[in-house]
Amino acid sequence: MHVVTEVAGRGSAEEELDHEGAAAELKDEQLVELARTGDREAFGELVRRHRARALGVASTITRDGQLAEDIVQEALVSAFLRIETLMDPGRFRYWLERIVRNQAMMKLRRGGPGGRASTFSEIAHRWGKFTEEEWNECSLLDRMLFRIVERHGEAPCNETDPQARLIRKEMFEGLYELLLCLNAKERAVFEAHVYRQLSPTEISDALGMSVGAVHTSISRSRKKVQRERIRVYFRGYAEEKKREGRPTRRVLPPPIRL
Amino acid sequence: MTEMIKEEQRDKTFTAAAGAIYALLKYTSQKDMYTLTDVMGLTGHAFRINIHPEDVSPAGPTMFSPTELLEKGLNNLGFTAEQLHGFPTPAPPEKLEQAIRFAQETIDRGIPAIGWSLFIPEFGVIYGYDDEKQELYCSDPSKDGALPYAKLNELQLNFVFMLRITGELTLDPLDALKTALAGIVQFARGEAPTLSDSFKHGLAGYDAWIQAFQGGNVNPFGNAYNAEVVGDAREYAVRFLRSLPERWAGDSREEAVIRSLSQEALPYFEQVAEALRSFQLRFPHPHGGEPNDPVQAAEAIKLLTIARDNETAGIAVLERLYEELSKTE
Repeated sequence: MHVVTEVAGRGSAEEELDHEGAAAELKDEQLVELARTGDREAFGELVRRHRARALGVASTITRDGQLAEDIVQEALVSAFLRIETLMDPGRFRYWLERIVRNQAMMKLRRGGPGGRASTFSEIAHRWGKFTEEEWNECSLLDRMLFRIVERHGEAPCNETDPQARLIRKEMFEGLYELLLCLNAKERAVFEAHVYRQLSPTEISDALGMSVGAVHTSISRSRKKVQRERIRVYFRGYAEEKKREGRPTRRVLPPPIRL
Repeated sequence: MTEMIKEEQRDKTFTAAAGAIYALLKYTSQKDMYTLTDVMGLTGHAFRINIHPEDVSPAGPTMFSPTELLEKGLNNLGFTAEQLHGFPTPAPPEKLEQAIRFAQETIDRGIPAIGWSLFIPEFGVIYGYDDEKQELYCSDPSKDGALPYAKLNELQLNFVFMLRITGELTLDPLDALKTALAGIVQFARGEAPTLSDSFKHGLAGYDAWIQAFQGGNVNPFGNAYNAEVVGDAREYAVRFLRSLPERWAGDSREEAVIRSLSQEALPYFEQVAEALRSFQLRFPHPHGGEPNDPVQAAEAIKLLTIARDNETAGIAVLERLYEELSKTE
C-alpha cells in the first residue's frame, strides 16, 4: 500500500525542480526525462517552450483561435500522460505537434464548438497527411481523457499559469474515474506500474505479491481499464444524444434465426 | 414430419452471408419478393466452394471480400449497400463510435446492419441498440442477444466490419438472372476475386479437396464444415433450378430456354448434392470423423470426384443458358 501513498505524495511540486529558473536551463531531452519521473515543473517548462508553436499548428488546421486553444490544452494533457511512450526525448516538439494535429483532426471531425461538422474523409482529403496508423496512435488512455475533458470540462480559467493547473486537475479527474473500475489491490498494482514505471518485480516486493500475480493483475487491470474507458466514453455519447433530443434506444423485431 | 423438416430447411442455410441477406430483406419493401432459395441462387451462394488444398481450412467459405460475399448479391436482389470501413481491434473509442453510429443509422431507418464475427466468425445481423445500457442487439448462427459496445473491441477475429442497405434499385428479373449466371460461371472457373490464392474456388475447389485427402493432412473440423456449407449450398442450387420453370412460364424465347436448360442442368446438381450428402454422413459436422484414415480418404475422393464431374457438366449447361440469354435477336 505504501506505493500508493508515495504516488499521492507526488502531488506537490515543491520536492521536484524547486529552485526558480532551473528548468529553463535544461535541454528538452533532460526535461522529458524529468517529466517522466512525474516532475510537473519540468513538464511546465516543456509546455512554455512549445505551446506557441503547437498553437500555430492547431490554428492552421482549425482556423479557429478558441478551438485551437482547446486542442492544444487537450494535447498537452495527452502528452503529459504519454510521456513515457516517447522513444526519443529530443523529439518532444515534433511528437507534441503530431498529437496536436491528431487532436485537431478529431475535433474537426466531430464538429468543434463552432459547430462546424466535417466528415473524417473530407478532412483527411483536405489535409492528406494522416495515415490510419497515425490516427490510431493517438488512441491510448489519453483519448478517453480527451473526451472526459471535452464533455465534462469547465470553462477555461485564466490564472497566470493555467496550463499546469488544468492539466493536473483534468488528468486526475479522468484517471480517478477510470480507475474506479479496479479494486484496491488492482489499483495499487496498476498505479505503481503505470505512473511509477515500477517493474513487476519491484511491485511484487513492495506489495508482497508473487511476480506472477503482479503480471496477471496488470494484464487483467489493463483490460478492465480499457473496457471502463469505452464505457465512460459511451456514457458521454448517450448524454450527448439525449441533449440533442435524439433516440438512445431502438430495437427492431428480432430477425429470423440464422 | 418430412414436410416440416423441409419447411424449416428452407429458412436456414449454412451460408451465413446469404442467411444474413435474407434476414435483412424481411425489413424491406421486398420482404415477400424472395425465398431463401431465390437469395441463394441469385447471389450465387448456392454455387460456391472454396477449399484449401492442404487442410480444407474452415476459413474457406468466407475468404472473399464483403463486396463478393454480400454487396454484389444485394445489388442483384435490387438493393444498394455500403460498407463500414472496417478496422482491426482493439481500437480507440472514436472508431468504435463510428461503427456503432453506422449500425444505429440504419436501425433508425428500420433495417438492421450485417456484422462480421459478432459472436462467432460468421456473418450476423445487428438489429437494435441501447445507448444507456451500451449494448447492440445481434443475431448470428450461434446465438441471439446483447453485445456490449466494449465487446466490439474484443471480437474473436479482432476486426470490426459492418454493411448496411442504403436503397432499392429497379431491377429487371431477366437481367438479375443473367447477372447471377455470369457470376456462377465465373466463380466455377475460378475467376472470382479472392482474398487468398492458396484457396481454390469453383470446380478447382473439388480438385483441391481431393488433393487434401491425398495429402492426408485434412483438418477434421474444416472438412466437415466445408462439407456442410457446400452440401447445403448445392441443396439450394437444386431447389433454385427446380423453381425456375414455374417462375419463367411465359412464351418468350428466353423463358423457354430458361425452362429447358435449367431442367437439363438440374440432374447434375442433384448428383452433386447427393454425393455431398453421403460425404457429410461420413464426416459429420462438427467433430468430422476420420478424414485422414486411408479407407475414409479413398471413399471421400470417390464422392468428391462424382461431385466434381457432375458439377462440371452442370456448369457447362448453365454457361449455355447464359449465352442463350445474352443473344440479342
